[in-house]
Amino acid sequence: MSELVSKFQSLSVSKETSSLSKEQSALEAQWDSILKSGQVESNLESINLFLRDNAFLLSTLHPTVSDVNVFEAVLPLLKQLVSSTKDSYAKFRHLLRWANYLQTLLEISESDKLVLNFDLELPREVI
Amino acid sequence: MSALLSFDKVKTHSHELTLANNLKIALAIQFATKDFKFKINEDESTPKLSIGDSFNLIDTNSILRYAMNDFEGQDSEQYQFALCTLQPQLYKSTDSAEAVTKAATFLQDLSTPSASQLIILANSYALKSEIIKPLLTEKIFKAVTEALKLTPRSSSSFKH
Repeated sequence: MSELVSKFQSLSVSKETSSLSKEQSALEAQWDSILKSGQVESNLESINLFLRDNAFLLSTLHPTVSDVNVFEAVLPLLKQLVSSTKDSYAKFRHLLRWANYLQTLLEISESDKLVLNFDLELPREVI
Repeated sequence: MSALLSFDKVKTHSHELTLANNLKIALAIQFATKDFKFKINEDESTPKLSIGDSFNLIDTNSILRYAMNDFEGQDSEQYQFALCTLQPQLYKSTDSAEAVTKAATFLQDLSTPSASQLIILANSYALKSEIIKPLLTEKIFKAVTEALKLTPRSSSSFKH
């Protein structure tokens, strides 16, 4: 178990989601499969799209261990994307919102944190 | 429950990955619980299961699990082997004989296969079909035939 997962499990919010529906169990299996087969980077757009319509990865009201596991893999990728091009803010806006929530919740240290520019004006998203 | 399913027609990834994805979709149709009714979406080129407008799965392992309503054994050594060792080999051409030989030991009894076993089988068959072929049951063979029909042959399979 990673340090971040242990930290998450020590928080009361980790107990908010007790049982999963069949659909949520399928989503849990999906993100675990993508993560363990090393396909997070190639699925960033899919994760962003999912988070457009859902607050968290299992479509729960509160974050789960799946969110923390995927967050751990996504964080370095987002750091790279955000520092390389401003277009990433528009392209991955939902993923960035989710990652920012989780890094605050998990009290990621300043040196490891994803630094976001909240003053940027983003173009309206066309769905 | 009515679900829209699409097979993998993506031309940019490996033949092995396409075959494994299509085999998992074909197995999902064969082994789905009785409440499912599937309609194939010919317009979609990536593997996907959709129910209504709000529920989509894009990963074929989870599509198979969802269709079978089988979420057991995800922490087992066998399933972790399927995800962490076999699955990455579908993305790049490496010598997979040793891994598939090990996987075959998890597939000795396929009379009532679990979702984990079918995922191991699909990954292994796509990597080294000759090792897995003798283990196929009639029902699995049907899914294999369907998946092969829907998966373009790799250039290495053409005889000059």
